[in-house]
Amino acid sequence: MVTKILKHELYAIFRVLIFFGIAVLAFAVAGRVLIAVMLGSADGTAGLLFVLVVMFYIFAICALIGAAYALGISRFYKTLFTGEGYMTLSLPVTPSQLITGKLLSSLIAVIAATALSFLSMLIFLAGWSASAMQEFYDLFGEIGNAIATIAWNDPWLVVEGVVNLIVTLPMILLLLFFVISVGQLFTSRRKLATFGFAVGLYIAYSIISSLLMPHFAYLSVNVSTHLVSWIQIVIKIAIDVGCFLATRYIIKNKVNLVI
Amino acid sequence: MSAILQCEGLYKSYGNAPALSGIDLSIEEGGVIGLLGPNGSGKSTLIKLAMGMLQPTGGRILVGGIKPCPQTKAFTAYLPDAHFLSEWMTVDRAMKFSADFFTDFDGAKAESMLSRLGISPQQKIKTLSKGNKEKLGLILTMARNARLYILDEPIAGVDPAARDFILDAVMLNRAPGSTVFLCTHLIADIEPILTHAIFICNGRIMLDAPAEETRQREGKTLDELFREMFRW
Repeated sequence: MVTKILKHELYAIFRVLIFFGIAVLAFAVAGRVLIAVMLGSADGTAGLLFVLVVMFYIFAICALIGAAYALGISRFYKTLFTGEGYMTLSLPVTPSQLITGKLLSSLIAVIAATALSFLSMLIFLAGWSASAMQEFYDLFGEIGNAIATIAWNDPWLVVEGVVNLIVTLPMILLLLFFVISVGQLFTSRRKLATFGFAVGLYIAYSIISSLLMPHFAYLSVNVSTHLVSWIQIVIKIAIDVGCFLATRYIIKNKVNLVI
Repeated sequence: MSAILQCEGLYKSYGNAPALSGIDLSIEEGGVIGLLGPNGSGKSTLIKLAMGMLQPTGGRILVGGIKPCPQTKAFTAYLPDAHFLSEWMTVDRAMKFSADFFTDFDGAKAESMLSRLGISPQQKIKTLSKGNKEKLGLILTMARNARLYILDEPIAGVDPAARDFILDAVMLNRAPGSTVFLCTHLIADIEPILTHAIFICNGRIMLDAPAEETRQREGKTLDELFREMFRW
């Protein structure tokens, strides 16, 4: 059932996201063309256009990645807590399957948006001169060598980095799923309640972080940076699991669609 | 025959406000059951409990002998009293969605009902009229060969011709041996098709009896009886 949910969610997300992707690629191509024009012309107009295109290109990338998150979140809300919730909640699927399907589809959308952004950068950079391209290749080469050196000297750092990425990526989405679900517990002013809860959660997170930071710093210096990394990873896993279970509980026991 | 829907001492409260108070019901499989009551009587609450969309405060509800869960949803076709279709979908996409999740969905039956309405499968749902959206919802529900159909106010807010279409669609397309649970306050329109009547008011069952037996015993139609019992 998760694959079926995933299939339909990905279709619903990408039917909108594709337009953002096309815009990013269009600006990348436009930038590429303008670079070629600029290099072959003394006219300042091309340069001005180039600056505008680069500006919109950066906006488009931000919009693409933002839209990937926003579409995943908005579909979670719309298909569970509005009229469409009647359809979703009458499907022969468990709340766990629903949350997993929606989480995976949102993650895939974010990863795809990020990958497309990098691809567009390659298209954009292809317009630069051979020497500029060589400098970029050399830069990436140096970054690669640095990572390889770190991995050779302390492979655990790479493992921790990868695990950290894996547990952090879904955390934002799961937190937002949880916040939206809590907001639906209120009988009136649900959007305000959702916003209020999100602010409260952020304040609580900031207070707890500032209380824990000195202890992490002490452990990092006097015991081991790896210990601190793994403690942070465990905390993030706990947040992920906690948000998932809490959201599942609310969907299973507390949703009351009153449209 | 086994009970398709059972309520045992069922209670549901929203905070301090009781919606259902000690409901005891046992609906046998087969037939068309009318859950009839005025607005705010607890009809939709009972239906949502049967669909697992709400959890009881006390007592229990069983569908096909088990608590509402994905297994019961697999054989229960539900038509809510709200617009539930995704506006951006085409009619065809909505049918594929239903077919994907419900193994008992009959695409040919759905297409046949759609062609009667003159709706193209490529049409976007947001371009349909309000009436056609409601009919589409009904088609997607009745195209399933379910054991239990739960229809919440299927004829409210539609014109008399549409009501006839809806009631025909219900009676002609329900799976053989299935049970139809019709929830409405428009009793006169559905009375001809009812085999069993349940009157509910303020979260309590006021009547639970076969329709014909009630008519003969009371010497009046269900509509007349309803008006008499729930007179303001």
